[in-house]
Amino acid sequence: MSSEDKVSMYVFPKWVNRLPIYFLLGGGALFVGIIFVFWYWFSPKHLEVGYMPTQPIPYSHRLHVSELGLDCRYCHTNVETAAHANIPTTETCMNCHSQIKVDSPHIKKIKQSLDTGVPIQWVKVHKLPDYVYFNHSRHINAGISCVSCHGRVDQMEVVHQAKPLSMSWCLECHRAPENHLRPAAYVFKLDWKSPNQKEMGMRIKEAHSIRPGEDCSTCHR
Amino acid sequence: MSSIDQPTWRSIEEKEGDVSVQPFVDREFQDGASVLDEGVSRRTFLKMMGASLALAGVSGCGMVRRPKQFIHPYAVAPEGVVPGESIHYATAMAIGHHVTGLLIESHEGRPTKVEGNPLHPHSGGAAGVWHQASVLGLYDPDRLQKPTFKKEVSTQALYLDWLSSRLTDAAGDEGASMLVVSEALASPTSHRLLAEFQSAFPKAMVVMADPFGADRQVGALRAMTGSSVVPMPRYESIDCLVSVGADFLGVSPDALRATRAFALRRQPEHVRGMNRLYVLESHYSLTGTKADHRFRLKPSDLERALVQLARELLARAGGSGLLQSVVGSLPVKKVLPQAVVSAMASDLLSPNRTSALVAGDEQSPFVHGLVYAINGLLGANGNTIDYYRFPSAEFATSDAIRLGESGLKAAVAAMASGVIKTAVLLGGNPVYATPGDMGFAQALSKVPHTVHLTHYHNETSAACGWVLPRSHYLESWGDAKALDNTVSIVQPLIEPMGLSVSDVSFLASLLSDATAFPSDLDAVKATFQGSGSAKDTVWRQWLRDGVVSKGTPTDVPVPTTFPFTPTPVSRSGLEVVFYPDYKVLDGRFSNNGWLQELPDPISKLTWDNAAYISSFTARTLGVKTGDMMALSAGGRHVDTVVMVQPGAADGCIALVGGYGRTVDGRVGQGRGFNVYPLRQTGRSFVSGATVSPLGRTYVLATTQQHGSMEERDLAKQVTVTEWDENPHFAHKKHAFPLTSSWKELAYDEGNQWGLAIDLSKCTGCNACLIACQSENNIPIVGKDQVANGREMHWIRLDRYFVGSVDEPEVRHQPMTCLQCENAPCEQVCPVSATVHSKEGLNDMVYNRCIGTKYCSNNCPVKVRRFNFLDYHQRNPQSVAKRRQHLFDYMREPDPSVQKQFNPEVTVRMRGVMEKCTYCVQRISKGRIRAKNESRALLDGEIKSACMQTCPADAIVFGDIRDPKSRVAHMKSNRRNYAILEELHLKARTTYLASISNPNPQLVKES
Repeated sequence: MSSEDKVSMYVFPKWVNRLPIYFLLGGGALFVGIIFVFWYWFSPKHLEVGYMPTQPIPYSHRLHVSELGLDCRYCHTNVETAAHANIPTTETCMNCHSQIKVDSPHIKKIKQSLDTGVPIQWVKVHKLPDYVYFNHSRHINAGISCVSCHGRVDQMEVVHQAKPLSMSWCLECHRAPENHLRPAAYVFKLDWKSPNQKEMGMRIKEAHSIRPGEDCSTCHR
Repeated sequence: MSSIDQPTWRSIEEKEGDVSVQPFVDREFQDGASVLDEGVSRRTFLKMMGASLALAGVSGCGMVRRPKQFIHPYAVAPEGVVPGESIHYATAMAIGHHVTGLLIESHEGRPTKVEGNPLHPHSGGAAGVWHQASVLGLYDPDRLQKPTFKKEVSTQALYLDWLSSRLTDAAGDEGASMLVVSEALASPTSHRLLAEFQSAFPKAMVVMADPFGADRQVGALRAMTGSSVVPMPRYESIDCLVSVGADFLGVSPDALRATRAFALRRQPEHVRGMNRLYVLESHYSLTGTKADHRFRLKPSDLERALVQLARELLARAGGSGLLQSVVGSLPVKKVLPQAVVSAMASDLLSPNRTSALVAGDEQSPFVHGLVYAINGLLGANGNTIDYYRFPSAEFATSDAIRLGESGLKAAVAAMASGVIKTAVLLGGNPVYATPGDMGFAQALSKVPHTVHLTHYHNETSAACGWVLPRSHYLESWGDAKALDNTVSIVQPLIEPMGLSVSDVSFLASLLSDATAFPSDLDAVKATFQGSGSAKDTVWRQWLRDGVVSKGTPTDVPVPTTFPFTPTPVSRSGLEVVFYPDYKVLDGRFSNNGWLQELPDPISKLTWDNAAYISSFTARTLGVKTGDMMALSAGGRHVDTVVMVQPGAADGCIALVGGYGRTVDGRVGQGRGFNVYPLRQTGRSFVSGATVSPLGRTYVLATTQQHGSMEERDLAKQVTVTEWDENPHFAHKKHAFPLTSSWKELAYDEGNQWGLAIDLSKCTGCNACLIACQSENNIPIVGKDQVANGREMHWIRLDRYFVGSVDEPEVRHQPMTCLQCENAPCEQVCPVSATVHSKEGLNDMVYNRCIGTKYCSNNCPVKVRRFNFLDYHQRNPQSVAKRRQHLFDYMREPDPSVQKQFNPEVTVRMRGVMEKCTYCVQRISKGRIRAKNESRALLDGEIKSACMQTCPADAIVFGDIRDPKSRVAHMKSNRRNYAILEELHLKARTTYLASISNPNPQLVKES
């Protein structure tokens, strides 16, 4: 073994010089990766969309809306006048179900609720944080359809969350409402689509001088 | 020197340059303000936070989604209830004999806020501090929930068994062994039931009394004229007014009506000109702060000064008759300079001007009689002062029904003699709040069978056998007749929170032998039978309006005798006056945290009472603010703490009732000092008192130095003459042009919100402060925290003294976020947590705030509040939090108290800056309603909570871009000025300078 070889035994190979760069690049990629993981998988778009809890009574919107043709407002009576789009009272269900399918075990649960006055405990699907003050009536009256935020509920067997309901998602529309505005007659027609949404939206925006607020206090108090 | 140039000061210490004030001038938050002062230090707290955050991270990686939440729709929807939308219901609240019509905001059946009923003459849309804070009292978890017998939980059925055996016993002797002691009730149904009880048991004694009330005045007028009437001055039509110890703008529950009418005439723009107010009083009262001339006199001198004035008036007007015969025979002692008396007399008698005198409830019968006679001489009776039949006197036709202190005295005598076997006590707290020489507690202990209907366990219920929970007025049916005979139905807004009994049911049970309490609704309806209540539509109309009928004044009764003499006083010692507290009144509101933490409008003292003395008296006695002293008179003594009050009368001590409760809820117990033992039966004040310092000190939590404005002249006031000479006095000329370093925004689109506050009208009554607190979910912080400068009130009522320590003037200035267009706070926030909205609001974004407090350091008016320690959690009534996730490691307000929270406003947690938002939730609500209806907002449609309740109508909110709006009109007034204009804040809140109207003959040349 030559002395040169002996020395080279103790000398780091040449590729080691590139290690810092690998570390830097690898570290950078890891850093970006972690951020990406949080940014994507921890975002409402990933965590919230698709939330589909089991309800105490398997009420099918598809059946009641698409097949039987109930209007949204038959049950969600206050959606045009109040901040909350109310969940129907037991009485509302019993308007029909005092006659229809009275023997179903689920309808019996509803009957029991009416008899005892104990409300049916529905699981909340669409949740906004406590510090967000959303008003249904304002959006409905401005010409924003249910479908813009809730998706095709008329086709859902079990209701799930269709949109992320995150702040950036809200702002997308507040900054460009023309992408969602529609004539009042079509607000509750979830299957309706405008052939030229943008142009029509601009027209409605101008006609009704719709200027959605972008101030913090528009939604937060 | 013009009054505009005079320096203002907030406390004697500040005026005298005491070093103790300096820290509050230097910085808003005191040293250690951010240190947790018990148990956990900031460091351990951070460690804990770190650990729980890490754990939360771990749990976040698991399969745990957000906690499941449920929606409970109504099974059967109540008619008219829209989930999430509030509804207002009309009702009325009685405080003693005083009734105020109210509108209660209800969210899904939970009353959340109290506002005034514009249709009710005693409210006019305003509600006072007590009315507004009563909603917190409704949810108070310390209220009694179940009946108890000898401190053991029992049932209503057992009580009714007991009652029935007592009534059978009493029937044997026609009720001679029966006594009913009630607090003052304004309810016609209660009156009817008491009268029926009296006729069922003719020998039973019925007594109705409050510690402070209208009884003394009514009694004096009855002795003079034979009829029970109560005077109601029409303040808006009185040009020249003399208050004889009357705090009609302050502590009187009738102050709302008085303030609105009086404030109308404090505007120099009024067509009939400004009114003029002379005040003779012993301690500084709110009414005194609005005086054009205030004379501080000890109570005996007050009587002498009145005699002096009466003589002068008689000499000038040449009157004769009763007044002449009374005054002529009295010795004269000149306590007021002759120049003052003659100037006052000529002012009162000047032609083409109306004038009147008002006597305070607590004054002696002599004063009431004399004031009545003088008002007759001035032509005020029946002209600017209406007389109404005293509602409580209408049922008290039998001699066995007694009102006021004399009634209590008779009750005590009967109990002490052992005749009384059964005592029924309705409300009140006579063991605690009766004069010490009466001996109520000893007498009561001789009664074998006792029952007390009460909201809280208190000193009286501790001495009673049966204790029944009493229903709050918001959870029971009743009715109320105001002093001006306006009748209202009191309708409940919520089911009773416990097994409580309403006043009406309780009284009705004395007349029935039923096994359950009779219905209060039926009893109230029975009272109104024959007046159309049988018709459902009429009844509904009454409930809707909150007013059944309005009263009409009676004829002015003719005085026939004058059976009074001046109060005899001992020559030595000090004189002691008593008055009810501005916050807890006679003690009935002492378990209410909002009221306990409310700064006293004069002394700015919270959570305590004190003995107010003048600085001369303090020097003589060798005591100073914060020293404990023993005060003795009539063989009894109380220990209390001294607070030197600028402008208090020399040789006199003013004591405040309502504190020093030994048995009370968690909020009120053990606060302050009980002064009732020193009171003497039948005396309006006590003389011959002696003082011995105890050599101890006591910490008083006052807010008077908080938010120091460093002697800047912010609350401007000049006399009406000075104003005429220099109408633009409020505006400064600036040495250099006002420009901003930033690009200024135009704010020329949409609604631009602004506020104007008329300081001429503002009386400093604190109603806005409580309105803000209940609207915006503002927590209380406790005495220690107030002492450390951490109170959370979004509105600070600055009270400035001007002039000498002995005879200062007072100026009030409500101070809250000015919503500066060039806001200094926004320029320093590192996280943009405070930013401007398009409508000119300085938005506060709680979720962005990281708590640097830079904004409050840069706020020129120190109106930002930092929630250092999550005060909702630290409330003495808070409970351990029901754990939903890992962040729920601490406490939360009692579930009952949570029901009061306004759901439209975020409940802020610790570490977050907060401040006035102009009630942005109300703006949003109004804006959404208008937009949904496709119309523009109307002026006055949106009212901030402070504006809505202001009894003086001093606060006006609106769109400053709309030239027709009220606020724009106010801002165009020459009195309008912006504070710290030289900083170029472009504040949206501006003030209208206060104008005083002193008598030119009395203005000192200087």
